Amino acid sequence: MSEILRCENLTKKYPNVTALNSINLSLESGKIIGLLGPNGSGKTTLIKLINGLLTPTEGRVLINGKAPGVETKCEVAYLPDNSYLNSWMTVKQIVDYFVDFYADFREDVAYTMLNRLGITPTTRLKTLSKGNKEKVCLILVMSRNAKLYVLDEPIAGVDPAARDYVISTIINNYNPEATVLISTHLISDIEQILDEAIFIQNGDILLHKTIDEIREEKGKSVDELFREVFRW
Amino acid sequence: MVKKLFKHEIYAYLRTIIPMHLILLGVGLLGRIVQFFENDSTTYDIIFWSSVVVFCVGAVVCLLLTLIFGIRRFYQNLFTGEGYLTFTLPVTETQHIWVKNTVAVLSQIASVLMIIVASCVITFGEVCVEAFKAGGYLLKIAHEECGFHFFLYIVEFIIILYLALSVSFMLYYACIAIGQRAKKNRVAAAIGVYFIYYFITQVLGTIAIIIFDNIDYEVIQKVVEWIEKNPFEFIHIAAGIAFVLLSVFGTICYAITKHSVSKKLNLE
Repeated sequence: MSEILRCENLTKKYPNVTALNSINLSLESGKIIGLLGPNGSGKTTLIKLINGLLTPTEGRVLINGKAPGVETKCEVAYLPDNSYLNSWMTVKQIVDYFVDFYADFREDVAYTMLNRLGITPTTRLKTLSKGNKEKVCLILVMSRNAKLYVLDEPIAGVDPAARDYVISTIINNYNPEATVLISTHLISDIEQILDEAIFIQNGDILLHKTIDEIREEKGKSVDELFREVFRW
Repeated sequence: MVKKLFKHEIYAYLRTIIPMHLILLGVGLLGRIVQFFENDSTTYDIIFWSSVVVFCVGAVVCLLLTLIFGIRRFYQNLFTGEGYLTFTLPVTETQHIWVKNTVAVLSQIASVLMIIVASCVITFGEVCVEAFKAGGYLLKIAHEECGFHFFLYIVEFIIILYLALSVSFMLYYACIAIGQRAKKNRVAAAIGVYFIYYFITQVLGTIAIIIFDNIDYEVIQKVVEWIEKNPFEFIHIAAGIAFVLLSVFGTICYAITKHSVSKKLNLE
């Protein structure tokens, strides 16, 4: 297994708070990894650093051996935790946009998933419901044949049926040789698909183990351990 | 990738400015049709002058909306939720800024050209022909007076005009880029930054006037004499100074914008 993501002494400080505190992390290819932590633990900051949306205060992040930049953006598929769509576009226009910019975008896969949802290419994005907008965002990301998928809270704020849809879309469409990094605090919904879990709190990595190691060593499910570790 | 950025940026503009241009053209055409019913009645005068006023207001609105759209597109595409997609495209920040700037400037020029075309439509006939004749006559006189310098002036004018438009957009971008670093009310913060810039330029202008007022009269006299002896060279030098000043100011604005989007990005 090759290393897809490496963080070395990665630190991000804001004027009044340290969001990430000199973390070291190494993720291998071909895994589904949960980035788990309560709100404000540093999950989104780490994800933004991976995507080059923030610059580290200290340390560095490497994707496939390269610092975030044009090259890594060709390899990373990112789903932010809020809508990034140009609302005036139609579904076809946003698909064409992805086709134009991402060489790894699978147009046929995207349209198959959109058809299954009953979303036609001529539909304007602004006419879609919030739930369908989120699904379109996920479809666009998972239609890429990326090396690293970074999904920030993909199941937060959606109903249980939609969560099942999101999870099935992820496991049915990701490139098996790639790594999927899923940030969430809703552990029980995604535990069954995870290979590894990373616990993060106040900008520190508390734990990084495989799911089997957690179950064997702690004798608990990831959800149970999460509740124990992050109990108020 | 730059070609693709241009393609999508131009499309985003066209869907807004083409309907606006067609409306302006329609207003110009209506104004011309009104003139076919020319008579001495007060009703005609009211309708005619109303159509002229509507056309003039339409032309100003067209220019203003193109300017606002250029600024809004930069802000919305880079600093709101859309920024999450924009900045994760395999494109550099430099390419984003320059593509947006170039298309904004070209759309402003397109709006000016459309106003000229619509003006030709509303004045089509004798007035339009006379205006073109007068313009042609003035250009001919200028060519006879200036010779080869005339062509250089045209080239310099086009360059300075383009540069001035580009720098003005870059100034707005820099204000937005600084404003987006505020925690709340980022648009208000950007407007605040612009007013601070405006205040500083007014102060500097006043200081420049005071300095100029205190220059020795003999020095001014010598400069004026030199200008009188070398009028053609003076215009070239003035254009050169304008070019340098605009380039320096534009570069500063670009550096601020680039630094903010690549190092201090603060997406909503």
